[in-house]
Amino acid sequence: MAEGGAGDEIHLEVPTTPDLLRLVRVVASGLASRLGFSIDAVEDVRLAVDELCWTVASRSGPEATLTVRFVILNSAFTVEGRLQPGPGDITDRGPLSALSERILHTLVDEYALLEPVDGEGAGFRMRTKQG
Amino acid sequence: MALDAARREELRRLLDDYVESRSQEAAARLIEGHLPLARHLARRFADRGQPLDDLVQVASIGLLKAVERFDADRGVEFATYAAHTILGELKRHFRDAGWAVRAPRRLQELYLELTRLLDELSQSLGRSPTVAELASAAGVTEEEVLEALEAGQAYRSSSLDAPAPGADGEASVASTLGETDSAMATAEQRAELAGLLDRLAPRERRIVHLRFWEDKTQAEIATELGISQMHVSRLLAKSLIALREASA
Repeated sequence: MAEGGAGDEIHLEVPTTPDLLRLVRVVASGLASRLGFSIDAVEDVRLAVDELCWTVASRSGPEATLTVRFVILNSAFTVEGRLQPGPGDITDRGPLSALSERILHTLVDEYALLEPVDGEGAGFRMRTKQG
Repeated sequence: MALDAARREELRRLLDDYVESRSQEAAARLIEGHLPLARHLARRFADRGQPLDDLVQVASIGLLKAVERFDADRGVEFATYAAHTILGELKRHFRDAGWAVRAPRRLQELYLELTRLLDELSQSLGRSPTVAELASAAGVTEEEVLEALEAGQAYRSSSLDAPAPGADGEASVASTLGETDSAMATAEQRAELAGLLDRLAPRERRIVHLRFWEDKTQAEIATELGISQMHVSRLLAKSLIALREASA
């Protein structure tokens, strides 16, 4: 992966257990760090990723996985996650809570929840730049 | 944990009472009789960076589950079954917390060193340092810094020690959630949010408010509260998890 250059992309698929969702935070903070984000900004990315992963994955069963795509493009950092639900899992998760809205509004430049599509569960997208 | 014959006999009697009656009183006596076992097992995990009181609470939950699930017909001693269930609960606690089981002493020490360096660098640079700058100051790699930061989050719920709403005598935060807040669509949502925030301990509530409503950086909050930035970071992460659990 080039240093913060154009079009760097990483994919990760993890089971939605708390100890493995931790890997999503680790990769996100590692990439934010490569972009030269300050510790403050890295912390913001970590909290935002944690909030979004929890929002999308918290109601899934033990067989669900979360597929996450990290994209670095022109110094902006985008993280997209999509739940692959297990048997019997609810694919929809409703809107963000007022608290999540407030947290994400503070932490990142853009964020959105993605509707379930074609057998896939809900997802999220967030984008931020070193401020 | 060796038991004398009289104590063993007393525990057996408590178990017989419970198996026979299945009453809440007998269950309570059985639980109380085995609390020393729960405390003993909790102490085994006491060097992993979490307060012993919290671990005893987790172990007690395991004990409670053991009482609820115990089947005397299976021919297993209750103490054996309870110890197994309590250990399972403690291990699950650490696994879910994602912290001390995997955080070796080296990382814990690095985390403490980074806590000091981060405050020093923030002051000398006049801004939040990058991970590379912090790694260079500590003489470690960026990966090690990130690993220590992640481990140091000590993802532990604060719900166990949060006071009851209003118990601390502080004003409710309801009044601090502005009417014109664009991210808060309805009065109902604001009221719900205020109720949630009131469940945090006063210092955590203040940190959450300063970060997400006053838009202060972690470094600014650290200065205002007279604590390290790492501590702010940890309390913030802990508070968000507690808020999620409260709203789930």
